[in-house]
Amino acid sequence: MRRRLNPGHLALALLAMLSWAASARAASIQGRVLHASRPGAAAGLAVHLHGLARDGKAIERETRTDAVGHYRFETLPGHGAYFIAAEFEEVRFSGRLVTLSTVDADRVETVDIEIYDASNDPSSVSVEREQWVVEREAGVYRMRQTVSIRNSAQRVVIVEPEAKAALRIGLARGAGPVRTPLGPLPAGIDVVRDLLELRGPIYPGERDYSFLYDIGPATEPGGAPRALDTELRIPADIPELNLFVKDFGIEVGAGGLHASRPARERDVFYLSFVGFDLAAGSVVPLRVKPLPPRQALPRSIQVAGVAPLAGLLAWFVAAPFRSSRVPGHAPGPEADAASTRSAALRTALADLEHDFETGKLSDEDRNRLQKDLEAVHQVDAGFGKTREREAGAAAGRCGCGRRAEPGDRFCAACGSSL
Amino acid sequence: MVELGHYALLLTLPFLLYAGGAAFVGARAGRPKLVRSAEHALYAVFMLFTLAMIGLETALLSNRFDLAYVAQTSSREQPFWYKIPALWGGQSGSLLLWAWMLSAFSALALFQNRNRNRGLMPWVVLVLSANIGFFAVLLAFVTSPFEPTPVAHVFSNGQGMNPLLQHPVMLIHPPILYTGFVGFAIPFAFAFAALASGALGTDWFRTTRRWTITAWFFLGCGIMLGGRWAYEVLGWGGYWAWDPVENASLMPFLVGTAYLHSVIIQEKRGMLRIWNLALIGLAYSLCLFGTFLTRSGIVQSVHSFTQSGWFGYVFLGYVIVMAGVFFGLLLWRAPMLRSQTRLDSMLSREASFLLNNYVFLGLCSIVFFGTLYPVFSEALTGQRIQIGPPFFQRYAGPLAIALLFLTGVGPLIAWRRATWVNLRKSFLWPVVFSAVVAAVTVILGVDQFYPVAFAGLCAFVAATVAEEYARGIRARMRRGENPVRAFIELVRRNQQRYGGYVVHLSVILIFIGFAGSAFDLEETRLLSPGERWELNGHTLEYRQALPIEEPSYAGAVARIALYRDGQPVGILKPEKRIYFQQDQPATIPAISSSLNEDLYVILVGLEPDQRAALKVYLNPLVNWIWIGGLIFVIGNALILWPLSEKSAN
Repeated sequence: MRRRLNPGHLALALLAMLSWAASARAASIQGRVLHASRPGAAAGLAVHLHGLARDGKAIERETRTDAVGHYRFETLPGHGAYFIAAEFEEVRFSGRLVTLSTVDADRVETVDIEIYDASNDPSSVSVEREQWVVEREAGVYRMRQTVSIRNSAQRVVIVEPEAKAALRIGLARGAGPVRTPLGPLPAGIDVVRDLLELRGPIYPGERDYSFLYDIGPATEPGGAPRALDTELRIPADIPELNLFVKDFGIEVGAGGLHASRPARERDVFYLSFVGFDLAAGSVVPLRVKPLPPRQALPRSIQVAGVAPLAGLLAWFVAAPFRSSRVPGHAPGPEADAASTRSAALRTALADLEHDFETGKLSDEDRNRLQKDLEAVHQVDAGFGKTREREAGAAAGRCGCGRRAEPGDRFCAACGSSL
Repeated sequence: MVELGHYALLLTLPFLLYAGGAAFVGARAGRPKLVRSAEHALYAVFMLFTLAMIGLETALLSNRFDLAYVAQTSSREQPFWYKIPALWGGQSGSLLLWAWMLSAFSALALFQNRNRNRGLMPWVVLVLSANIGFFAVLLAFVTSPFEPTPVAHVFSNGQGMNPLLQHPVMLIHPPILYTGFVGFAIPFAFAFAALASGALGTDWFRTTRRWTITAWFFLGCGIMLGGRWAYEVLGWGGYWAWDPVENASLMPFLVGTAYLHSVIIQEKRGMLRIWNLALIGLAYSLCLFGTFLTRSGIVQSVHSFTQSGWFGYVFLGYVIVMAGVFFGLLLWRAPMLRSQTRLDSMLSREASFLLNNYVFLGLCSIVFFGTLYPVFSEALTGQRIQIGPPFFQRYAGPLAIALLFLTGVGPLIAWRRATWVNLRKSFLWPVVFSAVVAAVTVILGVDQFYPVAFAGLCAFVAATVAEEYARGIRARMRRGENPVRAFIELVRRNQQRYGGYVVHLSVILIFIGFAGSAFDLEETRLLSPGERWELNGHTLEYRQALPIEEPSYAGAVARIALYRDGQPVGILKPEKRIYFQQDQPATIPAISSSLNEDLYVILVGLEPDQRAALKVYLNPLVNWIWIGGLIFVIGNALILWPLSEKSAN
């Protein structure tokens, strides 16, 4: 699921790069025009240079290749963007875009250009993937559609205007005038009903073709948000289709496409969908329904609504103060300790009995241990009482937590002996 | 409802502040009404957290993606049943679950003790308020589940919960594990209260005995379920990777097990009072420490909610303060806690329990050290060095042997003092049986020390458990009961003891499963369609790979015919998936299970020409671990099943 660079952003980046240079120096661009099978075909071809210098001046040059296909443009402004194209059998073959922002004198850039013979057989042309991006801008739904087209042959495909198109690309139903991010549609691409027909040139390898068009208003006449109800048409097989819909509070129905991870571009989020192996002729219904903005209650009303709850709970928390019955305290620590000791003794004796019954103790051991146990508990009980009294006196408070005054013999809160 | 939940969460803060303050003042000034009011405040906190939980679940079910937490853990496409666990599928939601459980358990403990332990209750309320308060502050100010998405952003759909967590086990695993972690807060609070109030008798642990066993039981179940989930979902052929987050749950479980044994000594003999308080303090501190490990990002783990920065330090500070105050109080009260009773003999059940405690703490220390070794190494050398399973296996292995031995010895020795005559009588048959099983294991060709030792000791423990039951039943039959009645009465009158023996039985089965891992086999092979692969009596015939496309994922499934000893067994279908919404790959294993072994197949990769790379794990005896888990549940059910005092006595 690759995301493609927007050509418009590319142009902006190019201009930005141009703006920071300090001074201009001369530069050269040279290279070679190459033909894969016939080296001689590259001789004597016209090579065009289109450029834009930092000061905004357009530069147009033309030269011809030598016998082995070499060309060279000299004394070009050192800060500029240049685009080189060679013309072969009436087809233009472009090289890469060259951007210069150098302070070095005599900078030389090399741009080689591959040229191919032309063919009118479109069987080698296919769509690799498509990316549809729906946005809401300036009151309309706008589609940004990028198609990756592969020509697997080593020939550039061009078909005659009256012949069947080399490739057809589906547009969304209701598409308005179609353009590219850089301007009108180039020659060789025509809109026929809701389809784009490509007649070429379609160059070998894989290239992206981007289109922009509107698909209807985003608001009703009264200003209310309007749903988008359209279809994505697939006239040719597509192995992979990505759909992104700018998230402005929407619910999207995208037919059989799979909901994918929401995408983010800067601070804009897109709901994302993906589909695989869509057959020619399939149609993906697309419905973008703006969700009504969530009507949150004003904060003051929310707080007012919660206040009774807080009040109710506060009333509940204060309930013990209204009650005449103070929560009853259990017996004091001394009684607790006594009951604990007797419980421990009962448990220990029961265990002793169980050990005896299950054969772990002899009769003699059992009687001896039983006597020991009872004796130890009697000593413990006496010692424990003394210690607890001492501890309580030292702490100056009853086991229930109430502080004892000097001379108190009983706790004022629970009545326990101090 | 969502907004109400948010306000409810914020409202917990003043109520918690009041609960803690009122409990403290009530305890110091001896004002019972103030203490009771503090308890009411904690009930109110429980109600408020319940509203917050309902609010967040409502937000998840109603697709409120304007909340960052919902956008992160749910999506429109997420099935209803997985929108419920999405509540604990992220950092803040799981903290809310923790806080809600803590408040619920606190409310239940307060209700149980509304007319008991009044001297302890103010301090219990104070400790519980402080603990809940920490989580409430985190949820209100640091990582709120009700945090809205940034103003400029719109989210009409969320990313959805991690697909690996969209598994039936995950509906129950986190709540069960949290029940274990949070459940230890109640005995901790009572122990703290005993130290603070000076009521150092047996009330605190008698009152919280069921809480401790329940927490320990749930922690064990949570660990077991986590292992099962890892085995079925993560596709690496194992169930326990000594991952820091796994270890985080194991440490309090080990200490909790030690406590459950040693507290019996205090109950029967009045010994080990300091030791037991220290153990319960340590168990809860390790629960908190484990939570810190899971959430701070201090150690790398596949399970953790990573949140770096000061969040971890705040959490660590909380753990240190809570443990520090507890152990400070313990030191202060130590002179009052010294026992007058001494160990009568090393040949006694007390001594064997004490030894088992040392072994459990030794194991816990090894796990602790191994888990934090990367942190220690980075602090000392600047290099983060991970230590893997071999370290744990090497050092934990001998202790596991000792533990298994003591598991067998403990039940057969009498309290206080055993004589040699009794010992010989009790241990003769278990020792003989153990020796026979070990010898048979060797004769069958097993020549590794650990499997032979485990087999012998498992037989020893099984024999001791059987002997205990047989002796108990015989003793009751002497009173004229028939065998069935004798069995029922025996268990009913000694739930803790005989339920505990069933838990020992589960330990044997789990150890049998562990022992099987010594014979694990792992092989990878690239197969063409129609090709066969012979492996230890199994034949795998790779038929074909097919694409799969579901609404939430796509991928491929390999169809593999499995034959055992030439007979067809079935078709295995391991899968490789990619989940669209999370952009996440997953390997789904195919498992053919039997009591002897599991054949565990994963699809590693697929070539364009349909050749498939398959990895096969043969995991002998692994299913005995899960069977042991079921027996563990039965044993604990026997212990915890409420019987009336009258019928029991």
